[in-house]
This record gives sequence, C-alpha cells and structure tokens, in this order.
Amino acid sequence: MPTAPPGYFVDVTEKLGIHFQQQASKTTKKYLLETMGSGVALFDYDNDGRLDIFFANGTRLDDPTPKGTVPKKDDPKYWNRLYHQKPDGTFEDVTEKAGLAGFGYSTGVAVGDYDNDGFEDLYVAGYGRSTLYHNNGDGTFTDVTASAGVGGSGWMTSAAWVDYDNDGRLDLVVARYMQWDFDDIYCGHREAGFRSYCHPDLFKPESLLLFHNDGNGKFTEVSHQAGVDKPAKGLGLAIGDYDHDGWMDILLANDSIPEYLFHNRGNGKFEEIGLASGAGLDGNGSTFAGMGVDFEDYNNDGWPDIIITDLANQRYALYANLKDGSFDYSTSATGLGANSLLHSGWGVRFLDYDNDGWKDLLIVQSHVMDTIEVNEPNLHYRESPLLLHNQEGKSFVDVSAVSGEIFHEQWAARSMAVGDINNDGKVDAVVSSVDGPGRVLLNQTATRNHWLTLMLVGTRSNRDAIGAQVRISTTAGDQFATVTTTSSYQSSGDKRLHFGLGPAAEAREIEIRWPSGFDQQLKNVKGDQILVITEGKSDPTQSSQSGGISTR
Amino acid sequence: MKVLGKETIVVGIFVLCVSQAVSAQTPGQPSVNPLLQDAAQSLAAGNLERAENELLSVLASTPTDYRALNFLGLLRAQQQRNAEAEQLFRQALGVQPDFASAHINLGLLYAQMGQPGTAIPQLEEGLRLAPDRSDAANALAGIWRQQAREAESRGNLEKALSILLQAKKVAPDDPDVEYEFGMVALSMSLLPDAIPAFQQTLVLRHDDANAIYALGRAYMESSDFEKARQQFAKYLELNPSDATAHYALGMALSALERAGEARTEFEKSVSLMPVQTESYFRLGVLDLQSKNFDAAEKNFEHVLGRDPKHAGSLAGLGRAKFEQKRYSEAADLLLEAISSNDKLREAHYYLGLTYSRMGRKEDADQQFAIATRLEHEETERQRTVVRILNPESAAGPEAQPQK
Repeated sequence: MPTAPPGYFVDVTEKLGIHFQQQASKTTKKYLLETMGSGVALFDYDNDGRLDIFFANGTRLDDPTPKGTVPKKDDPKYWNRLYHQKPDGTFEDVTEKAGLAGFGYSTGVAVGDYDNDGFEDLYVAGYGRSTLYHNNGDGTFTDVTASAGVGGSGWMTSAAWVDYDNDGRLDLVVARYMQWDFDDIYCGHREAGFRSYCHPDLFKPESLLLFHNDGNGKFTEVSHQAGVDKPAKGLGLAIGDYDHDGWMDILLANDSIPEYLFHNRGNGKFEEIGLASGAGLDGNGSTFAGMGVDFEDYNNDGWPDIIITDLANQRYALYANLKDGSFDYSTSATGLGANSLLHSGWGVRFLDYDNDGWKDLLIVQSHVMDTIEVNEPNLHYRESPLLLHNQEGKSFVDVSAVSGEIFHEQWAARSMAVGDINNDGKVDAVVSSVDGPGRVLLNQTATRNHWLTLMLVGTRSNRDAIGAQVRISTTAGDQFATVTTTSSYQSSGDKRLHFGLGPAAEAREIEIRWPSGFDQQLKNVKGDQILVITEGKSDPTQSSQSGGISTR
Repeated sequence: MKVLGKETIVVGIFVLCVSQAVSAQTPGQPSVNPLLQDAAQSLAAGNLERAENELLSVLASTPTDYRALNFLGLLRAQQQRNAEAEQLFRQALGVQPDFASAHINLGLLYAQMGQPGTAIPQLEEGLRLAPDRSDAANALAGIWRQQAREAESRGNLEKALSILLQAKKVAPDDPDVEYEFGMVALSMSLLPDAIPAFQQTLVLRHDDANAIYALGRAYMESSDFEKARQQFAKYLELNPSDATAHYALGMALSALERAGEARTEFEKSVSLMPVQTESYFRLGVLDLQSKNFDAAEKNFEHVLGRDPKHAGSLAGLGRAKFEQKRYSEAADLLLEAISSNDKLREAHYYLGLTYSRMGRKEDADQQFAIATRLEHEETERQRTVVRILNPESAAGPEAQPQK
C-alpha cells in the first residue's frame, strides 16, 4: 500500500464559541425533509479579512405535519445562525443583529455579491420558499426576496451564484429535489423500528431554477429559455468550465437518476450532456444516489474533473476530464471505489490539506436512513469523515485513521464548507449534521510545504470573480482552479483560491482568465501569503490578514 | 443433499414408534397388559412372529385394546401389508380418537404408501396430541421438504417457501429444512430470510460446506461483500480445489475492489478448470478497470473463442475499443453483444457513449433510453420480490426502503 502523509484536523468548535445545533425535527412519519440536513457557508460578510460562518437550520415539524404546510421557525432554536469571527479568532453569534434568523425549513446556502457592491450577499434555499438577503455593508442584511423575484418554489436544495452569460453580474441557479409534500407514505417493513425514509423513485422530479440577474436588483427566471428545466432530482451543485470555452457550465448531482451536466453554449442556452459526456452514470451504466459534488482539477492536467458522493455500495463517482468534452469514470482505477464502497457521502471537496500541490479529498459521511443497520448491519447511519490523500493525480489513499480524532467519531454529517478560517495557509472545514452540532475543523497538518491563496476581485467581471479560471506554475508543475463559492452539498465555501506549492517558495507564473475574457498574468509570486488580485491591475496586494493568524 | 430411501425411513420410524409407544404410557391410563408389553418388545427387537402371536392373543381377549390394535398395525406395516395396517390404526382411533401414536403411525403409513396429502393431517394431529414425538415431526418435515422440492421444480417458489416455513415450525432443529428454506429464499432474493437460515444450518451442522457456500452467495447478493469473502474463503479451506468457489471468492474480492487478490482467485479457478469462460471474462473486466486494454481484449477473446455469443465479453471487448477511441469497432462489437443479449444494460450504455462520440446524437439518446429503461425494469423486478416477502409493506415501490 502506498504511503501518504497524514493530515491533522482538530474540532475546535467549543473553543471558538460556536454552539449550533441543527434541528431536523424528526417525526414518526419519516418525512424525507428531516434527513437531508441544512447547509453551511464560510464567507467574510464584513470584509474584515476573516471568514465568518453561517449555519442554515430546520424548523419545527408537527407529527404529523398536514400536507401543504410550509413550516416556520417559531422558536429561536430553529433560527439560522451567523457567527462573526472576531480578531482573536473566536466567534460571536450576530444572527439577530444581522437579521438572518430566517424563514421556513432552510436547506442550502449560496454566497455571492450579486450587486457588485463589495459585500457578500446570501441566498438561503428552503422548502417552499428561499430567501435572498442583501448585505447592507453595516453588519445587517435585508430580505430582498420579493423584489428580486427569487423566492422559488418546491423543495429547493443547493444553490449557486454564477455569471452564466458573462455580463458581469452573478446569476442564480437553484437545484430542486423532487415534487414532495408532507404526505403520510409508509415505507419499509411494517414493524416497529423498520419504518424508513422513502426512495426518491416514489416522487416526481423537479427542474432547476435559473434566475438571470437583470442588474437592477431584480432577477428573471429563465430556466425554460435557457434549457435547464429538464426534470431532475437535484441535490448538489457545482460550476466549472469543463471544455474551456469560457462559459461556465453547471453540474447537478441527481439522486437516483442520471447526473446532469449542463453545457453552456454561450448564447444564453444550455444543453444537458451528462449521459453523452460519460458523467451521467457509473462505469457499469448504473444510476446512483448523487448527493455532494465538486468540479475541480484533481490530476493537475488543467481541466476540471468531477466527484459525486452517493450511498454505500455505490462507490463515489470520480470522472476524469478527457479534455475532449467527455469524462472517464475513474473510481476503480484511482482506488476511490475501494475507499468508498461502504460509505455514504454528502459534503465533499477537493482540497490540498498538506499543501503538496495535489488536491486531496475531504468527505463527510452518513447514511441517509437512520434505520440502515436494521436492514443492512454492515452499513452505518453515523459515519466518520473521510480524508483521502491524492497520490499525484493517480490514486487516492485513505489517511483518515491517522489524521486526528475527528476521523474516529461518528456523525450524521450532511453539509460541509471549506476555507482557510484562520488564514494560516491551510484549508479548514465547517460541517453541519442532521439533528447534530455544527463543527469547525481546523487543519493543523504538520507540513513545511508552501502555499498561496488568491483573492480575486473582478472589475469588468463580477466582483467575486466567480468563474475566473486560474493556472499557477511552480517548479513542481501546474495547477488549475476555478473561483466559486458553490460545491459540496447545500454549502458555500471560501471564494479565495488556495494552492499548495509543495517545496516551491513561489509561483513562477499565475495566469488568470477572467469571466470577462480578460487574461492576466503574474510572474514570480512569493508563496505563503494571501494575495488580492484585481482584474486589470498589474500590482496585486497582500491581504492584511495574510499569514498573520496563528492556529489555536 | 442426499435423500434417504423411503424404505429406510419407514422401517426406522416404525421401530422408533414401538419403543416410544411403549414408553409413552401416561398416568391415569390403564396399566399395560404384560403380554402387550412383551409384544412391543418383540416387535422392537424384530421378532415379528412372536409379537404377532402375542398381539393376536391380546386382541382375542380384548378386541378393543387400542394399543394392541396399534402395535398390530405397526407389525403389518413392517410386513408391507399396508391395507391391514391402515385398517388396524383406524380401528385403534375408533376406540381412542386422541391416541397420538395411532395418528402418527397412520400418517407414516400413508407417507410410505405415497399418499402425503392423507399423511399430513394424521401426522399433524398426532403432533398436536404429542408435541414431543420427533418421529412425527421429522416425517412431516420430510414430506413437506419433498413437496417443496416439487413446487420448486415447477417454478412455484412462493409455494415452496411457504411449505418449508411450515416444516421449520415442526422441525426447528433440522439442518436440511433450514438449508432448503435458505436456498429457496436465496432463489427469490429474500436475503433477510436466506441468511439466517444458512446461519442456523451451520449452527446445527458445523462445517456444512454447502451451507457455507450458500451463505457466501446470500451475502454477495445483499452486497455484504466482506462477509461473502469470508464465507467463500472458509468454503475453500474445506474444498480447496473447487474452481467455482475460487471464482466466487474472486467475485467477492472484485466487489471489494481488491483487484489483485481477485485476479489471483480467477487465475486459480482457470488453472483448476481451464475449460471455462467466466473467470476469463472476469479477468478481462479487471484488466478493463485497470486500463490494461491489451490484456482485457486477450481475455475477452479467449472467452469468445469458446462461446462466440458471450454477450458480456462482446460488450467488454466493445468497451475496450471505446476506451481506445476506436469507435467504429466498438459500435460493431456492442451491437453484437446486444444481439446476443438485448437486456445487457452496460452494452446499451456504452453503445450510447460510442454513438455520442461518433456524433450520432439521436442513436446515442436511443441507447441511453434503453439502458435507463432496463435499469428501471431491474429495479421493479427487485421490488416485486420485496413485496412478495413483505406483503404487509406498502404496496407501491415504497416497499423498497430508503434511497
């Protein structure tokens, strides 16, 4: 078995002053909504250079809940929560002040500065209604859902900000799961302890929603015109330009139907090519329960690849980009099959935990069914997270057992956002669990490898630079990444791009292709810093927080 | 399982009945005539002539002595004078309707005469009256096993299963009943029933190789590949030269993504039984997964040399060509695979991918649609089986738990 350097992730939730508990409101009726979890976001809402944390939350569900109910947050324990990171690295709950307590059963979270005012806005997806919060820049947010026209309908899950038409404004994509209501449908054996959550096959599919940003605080739903209204059972969302044509494509992880890859044709229309591209099914031509997703280049060949998590016995699906518009199912060939056979994964991200220049995999896991052990004793509802080291793009090796206590704990985890919370050059993670605590996991991996974090600021492009494609070259080779806040499952991560440089102290070259089409190059950029690069400006600036925060 | 001859069973059972009948005197019953006791012992000892004389003597003085009638019936049964035996047992029951031994002996007699339908109620009544009579339980279980086998051979697995369920109730410690129940349940993919049945077989009969292997199969079907691997490995400890078991172990290891070990097992299977197709096919699949296309093609071609219509190998060969971007060849092979087995979902899927690469979008979509439909049909078939197993479950597809 190949050797791989261990990581070291530490649960510092309590220490940082975070006390969040997701309220699933489990009932005897086994409403599917209860087991799907709520999202989490890592973003800097007040531009102080430190990442803050937002947890979405459920609501009270009556047992039974009448059909047609849109649940409400009628107690503070159901509130969504915003935790502000203070200069000392601890957090304070600023939910009330920020006005983010929320409405309804919240699911996914998407962060993006849709009005390019320099402050990150927040879209909170939900069951029955989603909410767009405009960041007022003073620590408060305003619910602008109605005026923006992005409330949506049905069971919304993940959401993504992406400038699909490269007009400089972020548009909004919202995944929807299924046509589902609080019907009392009995699934599983009629025996005490055997009732289970129902299979998605029971419910009709529901299509994506695509909202075009009209630029005046208003959005227009263009799902049909854009061709993304194909019936789906969407959970995870990610964006990436898989064919390097300069237009961002949309990847949707579907549950138990083929996965969708919407190819952006650049004329305001998309073509769904999941099956045709080879990224729709597994290597045997079977569907699987797609849940979490990431769309990044794991083998450093310059082209975004795909990972989709699913249920135990299905194996996480890894698709290597063949650079010709197609993908190769690489789960078995990379060892991911053996590593994921008995696991059920939700939140997933490619991240370089040891800064060796290769994006590893961090996955949070749990079976969807809390009674799974009754029917399949070899599987488990609660599971440990999984950390897989990337062996130079060829295979993945499980290093979980030697990467900290958290990998020996059993969680009913769902959502996960990643980002460098303490700006120490190592990517951390925040995890939300069903009916469980939110957790902050600091990456304290011992390594001398160098790193570089880039924060891109668009001028002609959208200010978040979402969709910018970056290639960096070091003595060890090239790496490629896309600016996005969307990936994983119902979550929104740090928009800054993090690169491990390995032993190289600098990046010889950085090439940025902005969504506007503008190409920008930087030479000989020193490592171990957080660098702010503004579109069209030749002199990048070092972030005030760069490398200055010690790990606690 | 080896089935004992009818004669052996019957004689053995009747001898046992004699001793049980003698010892089964219950308090409150009239004391047994010493002559009758002697007759019973003679009968048990095989001295039929002496027993007959003594029994006739008893009956001459007391024609309604139901125990003597019963013993004489036993004696006649051993003499193959079945009609007389039947008459005597019925006479005994006419005198004493709750006489368990007579019911049981009558049932055994009917079983011996090839009338299981008539035997069953007598044996059931006998067991109701004397629940400890293992001879009756075993006989009843034997009849039901036979009936289950007949139902199974007619393809009526549900009936076979329900018959064996009855057999399990009367003979809970019979490893054959457990094993056969497990096998029928396995045939119906009723894994939650099959697995404990095989486990119980092994509790009752350690190192039963057939049960070990069957348990491995059941674990495989339930996707518990590690446990399947353990069972197949255990089986191979008992039967190291079983090529099929090496193949099965290879399959479990493949499922566990332990490709190197799986390859070793398939190769062992081939070395033990060179004239076969499946291990070569699986070796080809492993080669395909590891992108060793030359080796994959060689293995698939080996299979096709023996079985030119082997759909899996045609599809595998087509897939190898597809991976090497030799789309035209891939399409031909995949079409050939489909003509050999039009239900092979993987072939439709890869043909769809191939057409897609060739720019034949409509053809590709058609193949994808077929692949999707086939998967849907497979799922529906599984759900139908689950509904059979759990009629109490919801009637719709929701009977299949979770995602």
